[in-house]
Amino acid sequence: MPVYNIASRQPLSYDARRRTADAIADIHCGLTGAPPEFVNVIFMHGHPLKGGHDLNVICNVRSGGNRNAELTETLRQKIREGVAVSAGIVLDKVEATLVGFPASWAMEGGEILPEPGEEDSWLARSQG
Amino acid sequence: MRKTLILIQENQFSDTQVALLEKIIRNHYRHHVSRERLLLIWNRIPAGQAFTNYQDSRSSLVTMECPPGFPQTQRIAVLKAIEKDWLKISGQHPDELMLALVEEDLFADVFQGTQKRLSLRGRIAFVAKVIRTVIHARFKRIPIIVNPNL
Repeated sequence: MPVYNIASRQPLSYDARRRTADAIADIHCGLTGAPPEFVNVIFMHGHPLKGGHDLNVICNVRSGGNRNAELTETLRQKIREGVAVSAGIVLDKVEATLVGFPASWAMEGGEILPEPGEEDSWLARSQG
Repeated sequence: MRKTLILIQENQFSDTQVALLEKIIRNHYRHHVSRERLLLIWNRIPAGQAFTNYQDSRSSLVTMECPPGFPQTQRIAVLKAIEKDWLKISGQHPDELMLALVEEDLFADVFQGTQKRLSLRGRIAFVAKVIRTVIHARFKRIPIIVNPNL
């Protein structure tokens, strides 16, 4: 986690998918301080989206810890903008939604995920 | 009926491995979480459509539904039990597996979120595809495996 689930009407090229996934990892890690090892980005296409959108992003992110409502909204906006640029789609045609998960409900690398902001000690423990 | 969503990569596991992985999830879920019926839906992502840590992904993501207020000690127990058996069958590194046991309200948000973003035509196409896949899987007695592209 996070898991970014991207649906588009038309298939994106491999290069565009790769660019978009990289942009998401850069934005997510830059804003939240989370390590990129956690960032999963999944693409699917052929999805007729509502509201005339060409691309929709749903992201499951860890909630709580150092993440307040302002940071979460900033993340949503930056992801929307970053995806629009890297996928080459007009911003108005891109929608993004974030769904908050309690970190303690998920396990990765054999360990319950850390609360946001406590990743360093978690990584040291899980890799030690 | 409870639900589990699983995401795996194309060409990552044989059909035999998927069947074994489904079996261990069902067994551990029944033992640790609930004896309710469990619907497992496998999303098999075509090559080049998933990325983790700036690379093509080799990760598997398992999201299971549980009742509200599920005890954390039992959550850890079931996640650890599934993780141990999953890695034995899949041969994956622990970093390539994410497991979550999510209370029903949040699970519904996740499960329905991918449908709510679709137009009416899209929702009909999505539901029709899932129903076709479920019928096929039931008839053949195989896991329900969906390609998420419509």
